[in-house]
Amino acid sequence: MSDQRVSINFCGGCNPWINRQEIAQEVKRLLSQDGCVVVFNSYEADLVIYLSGCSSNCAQKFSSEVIPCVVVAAASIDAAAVEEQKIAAEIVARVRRFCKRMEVSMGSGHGSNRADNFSRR
Amino acid sequence: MKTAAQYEESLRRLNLKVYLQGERVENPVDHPIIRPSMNSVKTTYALAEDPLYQDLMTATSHLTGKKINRFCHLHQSTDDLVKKIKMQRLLGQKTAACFQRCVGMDAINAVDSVTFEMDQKLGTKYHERFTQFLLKMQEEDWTVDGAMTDPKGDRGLSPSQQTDPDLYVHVTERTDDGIVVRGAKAHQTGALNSHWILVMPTSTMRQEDADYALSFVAPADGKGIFYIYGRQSSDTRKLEGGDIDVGNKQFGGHEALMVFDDVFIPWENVFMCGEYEFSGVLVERFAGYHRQSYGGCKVGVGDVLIGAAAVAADYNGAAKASHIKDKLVEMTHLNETLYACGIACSAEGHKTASGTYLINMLLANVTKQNVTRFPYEIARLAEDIAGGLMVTMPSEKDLRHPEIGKVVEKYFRGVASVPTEDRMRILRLIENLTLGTAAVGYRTESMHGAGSPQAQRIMIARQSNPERKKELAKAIAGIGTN
Ligand SMILES: Cc1cc2nc3c(=O)[nH]c(=O)nc-3n(C[C@H](O)[C@H](O)[C@H](O)COP(=O)(O)OP(=O)(O)OC[C@H]3O[C@@H](n4cnc5c(N)ncnc54)[C@H](O)[C@@H]3O)c2cc1C
Repeated sequence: MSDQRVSINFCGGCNPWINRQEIAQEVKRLLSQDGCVVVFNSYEADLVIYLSGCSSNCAQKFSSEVIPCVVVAAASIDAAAVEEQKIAAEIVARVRRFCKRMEVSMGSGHGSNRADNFSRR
Repeated sequence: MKTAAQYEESLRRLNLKVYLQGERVENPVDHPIIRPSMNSVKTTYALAEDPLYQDLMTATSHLTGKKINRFCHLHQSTDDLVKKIKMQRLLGQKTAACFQRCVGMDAINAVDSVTFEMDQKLGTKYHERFTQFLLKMQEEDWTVDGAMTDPKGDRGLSPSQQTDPDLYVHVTERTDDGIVVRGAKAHQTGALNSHWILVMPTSTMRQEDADYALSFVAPADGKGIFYIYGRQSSDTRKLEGGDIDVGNKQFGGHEALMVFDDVFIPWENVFMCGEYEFSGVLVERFAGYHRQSYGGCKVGVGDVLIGAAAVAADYNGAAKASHIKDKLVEMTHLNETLYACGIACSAEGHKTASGTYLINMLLANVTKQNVTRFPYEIARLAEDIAGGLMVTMPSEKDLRHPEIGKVVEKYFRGVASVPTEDRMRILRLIENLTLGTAAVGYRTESMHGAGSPQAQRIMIARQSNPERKKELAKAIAGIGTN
C-alpha cells in the first residue's frame, strides 16, 4: 500500500507511564505489513512518531526538525487522551491517513509531502 | 499595556461596593488599610514598563502578536512556564507581599484548555467566547480575580446537600440572554484591585450538582456583586500613620468575601454551565497552575525574609556565630528547594489540545506540598535569629517621644554603629512577614492557598505510578525473572 519511511523516535525512558517498547513493536509490525519502512530515532523519514513515556514529551521537546509527526506523550496522542491499549492502533490509523494523503497528492501531481492534518515541528 | 498610573486611575473609575470593619468604603484605592495591596498589583504594571524587567514581565500574545503583560498571557511553551516562575520570584522580592495577580493568570490558562476540550467533545461554543474575553483582557491589560473557593458550609456534604443552597455559587435562572447566579466566593485575593472576576467551580461536581458546575466572567463592579474585606493581624497599625510598626509600609495583599446577589451574566460571558463532567479537570488544572505559582512568589518573599534575618543578625552582633550562618544556609536551602520545584514542574510541562502549555501535575503538587511546610521553617529560623525583641519592642511613637525616646534609643540598640531605628525597622519587617499582615500570604496562604495539604497528597497519590516502581524493584531483586 505504501513505501513511506516512518521513524519512531523515543524519549530517554526515565519515567515511562506507557510501555513504549510494546507500542513501538506493534506499530512497526502493523506498518511493515502496509509496506512502510520503519526505522528508529531518525529524521530521515517522511513522518516521525515521537514516543515519550511521560507527559513531558522529551522525544519531541528538544527537536527543531520540521517534519510531519504524530506525538505520543504518556497516554495521549497529539495532546488528546488515549487509553494505553489503543495507542498503537491510533498511531497506525493516523499514519495510514497520512500515507493516503501522500498518495493522493502524488497522484494529483502536487508531489508535496505536506499533510495539513499532521503536526510539524 | 497600561502604565502603573493608568492602572490606578482605572481602579478609581470602578464602582465597587466594599465593606470594611462594618462600614462602606467609598474610595478603596486610597483607604490606608487597602492601599498597600493596590501598590503590590500596581508593581506588576510598573515593572512591565521598565526595560530592566520586560523580559520576564511581558510576553507576545499568541492571538494578536502584540506585546502584553505576562499576567494576561497563555503559556505557549515550557519557556513561558519557566518565565512565569521567575517573574513571580521577582515580584515577591520587590513587594515582600502577595501581589495578587497570579490567580487570574492561572485561571485564564486553565479555562482556555478546558473550554477548548469541552467544545471538541460537546460541540459547545465556550472556547470562542472565552477567547473573545481574553482578547479584551489583553488589550485592556486587566487584572482578573480568579474566583474558585466557595464558602462550602458543611465540608461533609456536597453542594446540593447543603441546608443553604447559596454556600456554593450556582445558577438560579436560565434565560435566552444569559443566566442569574447566586452565592459567594471566599478568600478572594486581590478582589478590590481587579477589573474582572473569573469564576470557576470549587470542586468536582456530580450530576446532582450540575447547577454548581459554573464558569463565567463578570465585571468586578457588576450589579449585585459586593465585598466584605478580610481582616489581617495588626491591620489597624496602618491607621496609626507611622512607618516603622507596619513593617512593610508600601506593600501588602488582601482577601475578601465576594458575594453574588442574583447577578445576571450574559451568555457571551459564560464558559461552563452544567457540564459537571468537566468541572474536575478545570479544578485540577487551575490548582496545578496555582501550585506551580507558589514555587515562584513565596520564594521571592522568602528571599526578603532571609535577607531580613541576616540584617538582624548583623545588627544584633551575632552574624559571625557559626549556628547563625548555618541557619541562614538552611533557610536558603529550603527556599531554593521550593524554587527548584517551581522550575522543574514548568520545564517538564506539556502542550494541551488548545496549544496552551500545562505544568507537570505531579511536580506542581510536590511544589505546593513543600510550600505548605518550608515557609514555616524559614519563618521559625528567622524568628530564632531575630530574637524576642521582634514581638516585645515598644512602638514607633515611643521611639519618637521627646523623653522616653532616649530610653528606647539607649536600651534597644544592638551593635553601636547601627541606629536603633534601623534595628527596629528590620525586626518589624520580620514580624510583619512571620506574624503580621504579610503572614497571611507567607504562612497561612502557603498552607491553604491553591488547596490544603491533603488536596496535594491526593494528586500525588494519583500520579505516583506505584506499579512501575514495583516492577523496577522486582527486576533488580530478581523476582519473576527466572
Ligand atoms: C490567604 C489565602 C488566599 C486565598 N486566595 C484565594 C483566591 O484568590 N481565590 C480562591 O478561589 N481561593 C483562594 N483561597 C482559598 C483556598 O483555595 C482555600 O483556603 C483552600 O482550598 C482550603 O479551603 P478552606 O479554607 O475552606 O479550608 P477547609 O476546606 O475548611 O479545610 C480545612 C481542613 O479540613 C480538611 N477538609 C476539608 N474538607 C474536607 C473533606 N470533605 N474531607 C476531609 N477533610 C476535609 C482540609 O484538608 C483541611 O485540613 C485563598 C486562601 C487563603 C488562605
